[in-house]
Amino acid sequence: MSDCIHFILNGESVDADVPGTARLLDILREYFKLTGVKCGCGEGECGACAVLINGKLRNSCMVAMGSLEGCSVMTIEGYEKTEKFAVVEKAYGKAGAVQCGFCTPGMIMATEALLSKNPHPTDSEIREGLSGNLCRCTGYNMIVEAVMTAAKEGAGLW
Amino acid sequence: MLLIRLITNTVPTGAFRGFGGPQSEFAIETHMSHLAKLAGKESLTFKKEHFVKQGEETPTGGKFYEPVKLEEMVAKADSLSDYTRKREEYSWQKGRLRKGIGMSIFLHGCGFTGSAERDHIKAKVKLEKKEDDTIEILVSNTDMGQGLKTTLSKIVAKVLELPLEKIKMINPDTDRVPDSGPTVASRSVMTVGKLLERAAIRLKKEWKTGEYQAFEENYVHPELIPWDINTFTGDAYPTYSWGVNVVEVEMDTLTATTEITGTWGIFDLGTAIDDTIIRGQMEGGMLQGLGYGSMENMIQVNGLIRQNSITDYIIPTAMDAPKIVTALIENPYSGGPFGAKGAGELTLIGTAPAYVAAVEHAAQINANKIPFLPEDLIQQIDEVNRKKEA
Amino acid sequence: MVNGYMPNTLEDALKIRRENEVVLYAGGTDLMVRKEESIPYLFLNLIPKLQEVTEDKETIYIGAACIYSDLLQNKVIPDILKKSIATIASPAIRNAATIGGNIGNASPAGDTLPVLYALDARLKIRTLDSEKEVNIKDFIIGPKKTILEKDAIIEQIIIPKKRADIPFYYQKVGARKADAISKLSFAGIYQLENGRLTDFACAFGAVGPTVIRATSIEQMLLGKTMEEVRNLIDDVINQYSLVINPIDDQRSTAIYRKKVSLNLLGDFLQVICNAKE
Repeated sequence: MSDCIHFILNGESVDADVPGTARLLDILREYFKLTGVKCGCGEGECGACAVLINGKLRNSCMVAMGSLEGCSVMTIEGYEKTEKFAVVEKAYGKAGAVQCGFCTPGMIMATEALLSKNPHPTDSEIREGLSGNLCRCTGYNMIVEAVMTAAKEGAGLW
Repeated sequence: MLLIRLITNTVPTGAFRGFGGPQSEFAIETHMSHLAKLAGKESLTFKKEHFVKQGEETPTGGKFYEPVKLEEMVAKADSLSDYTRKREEYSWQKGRLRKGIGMSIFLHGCGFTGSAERDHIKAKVKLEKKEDDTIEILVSNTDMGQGLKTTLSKIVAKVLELPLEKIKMINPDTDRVPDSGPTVASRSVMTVGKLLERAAIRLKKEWKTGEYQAFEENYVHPELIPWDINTFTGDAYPTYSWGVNVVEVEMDTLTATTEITGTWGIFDLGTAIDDTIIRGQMEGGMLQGLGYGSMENMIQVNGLIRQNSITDYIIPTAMDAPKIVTALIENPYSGGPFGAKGAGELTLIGTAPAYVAAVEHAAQINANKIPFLPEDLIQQIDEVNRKKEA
Repeated sequence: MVNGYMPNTLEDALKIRRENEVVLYAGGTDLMVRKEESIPYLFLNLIPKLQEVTEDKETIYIGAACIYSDLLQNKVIPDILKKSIATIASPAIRNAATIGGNIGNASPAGDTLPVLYALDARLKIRTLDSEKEVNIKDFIIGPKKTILEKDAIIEQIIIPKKRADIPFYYQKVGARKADAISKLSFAGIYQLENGRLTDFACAFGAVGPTVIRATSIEQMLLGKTMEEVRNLIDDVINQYSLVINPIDDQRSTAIYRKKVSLNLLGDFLQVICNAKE
């Protein structure tokens, strides 16, 4: 039996020849060269490293590789290819919800996680859904508007 | 020669959006409202008596050359937030939850301080027209999310009457771009943008279709009262941007925590080159100021910063961000492209003092620090049982 | 797998735990902050038994590796526990973190802990060849210190239903509305029958090395009428004032924590006095 950890990454079956204690964030960036996830804090506070694991929002800095056996992981690079992303991207652009962009990949994954659970969220439900994603540039309200718009424009997708 | 060597165990510090401005303006605004109380006057009434006017002297012996629109801005802030009525109404509260409302009035210098722009930076920009009649902007200023590629391109596009798609500005490479100075001091749109505006005007006049052309513009220092670095006198800035912020809070006397229930920002930034980008600066800066005034505690103990991780240095989350209402006052400045002045730093300045003023109003106290934390407030609130019965 | 074990049953997990030096990984959200990579991890997230929630007539049984976001969706979980879980961190953390991890980590500021203390929760501790139940107040013995032996795993959290459905008061005080470690927290339950207080318990979090619960003070109030309770409020607050001695740290001050804890207690007692049965 191999020492590799087998899981699904952005729809593809992959093997990672890495220790079980390694951090998913580091493996994504350095082993798989997917640099959409950022290390903003390394403490699970800022959300810049957020991914979807089995469809649920997770901070990849808090995930040890050994826990991923058989799981499905989606990063922003995988999400980018979907129709839902196109709606979210357009909404974020229109609302001016991106400034420096450091929080943006995580913020978009949180947006997807929120809308897939709650396709028509209220203002406070959006804020709660994004509460684990810190942004210093925008003041958040323009991001909340982007999510509202995506929910409206993408009716039927979520 | 006497040499004195000092050893310090405090951590070196640096600029925080406003470069000393946020700290000073908090102190000035809070002193002013405390003086108002001593004078037996409403805070805004007292401050209005001391508004500067166009033509008057600045604190460094310079001059306010441009119109000062504070009266108009305060009126707008008042009408949007209902400040005056609430200021009166919230003075007579009982019960566990207490409301408060506070206003701050502030300015920030635009562009580099003193004579540095003329003597050290000596900015130069280059505008290239390619043979296919597309344009490239060559400056050293960097878009880091504040939208500089958009704003500088819009300035050039508007002068040349071209669609935005024909203008290119890529991440600066010092092999290719002239030194147009650093991306600091709220100078990129106003100072560098002005140079590009001039270059574009010349290009438009001398346009030759199908030919490569390049125009450079060098910084020209406006005629001002010269800045004297030895006496710190003269015009510190060519012009100023202005702001009036209002913050409304609801304080819980049980926990000394406050909910920010409303935030309003009225700004004079000259003109807005891009509404969305300006809105991003206004809302982002205002929330940063609210964090700065209410929760971003950072203390040193024995030379070590206690809040030394993202877990412990507390900034607002999306759930902490209140609704922010903003409005712009037009006040075009001839030294800026299409009248634009600096905007990057100003928007942080006002919400911290306005927040403190609101908490002072709600709790009927004087505060003297930011962040003004629940831990600071609890010291000044009476035993909850007594106040509740009042 | 290098540096990790991923058993599918509790028995396999206990065997690995008995034979190797490992660190337990349930949700990983406390462990991964520590960046401990020299000892292999024993992953508990693939053991179905540890993620079950069951109940019988008198008791609720929560698997120690139950994830917060799942517990929030489960009807069996008491509202007071849900309220404390909902205040923890952020959606991404709640999608991974576990109730067993909160207990095993034993932070003085753990958010589920005051609730579990007030509910008289017990823990079922398993080793390869033993099992025992211990009250949570005896399990946590200091900041980040429990009596969990090197070869043991928490299997279940056991909550008597007696207190699970009665009126409660829960308040967390943090520096912001999300992603905040508690400055202090307060959990209280009470039951009024025929004008008398037939049940009363409260616990304070993040104001001591472990959760503070004082059953001797609670005894002062049991059996009393609402009028008698009203007359005892100042006395009760004074008694708690003697046992609540918080510290200054990077998050808050001793003075603030103590004042607000007692304010919340006072408010809770007022709520009881003004309650309709």
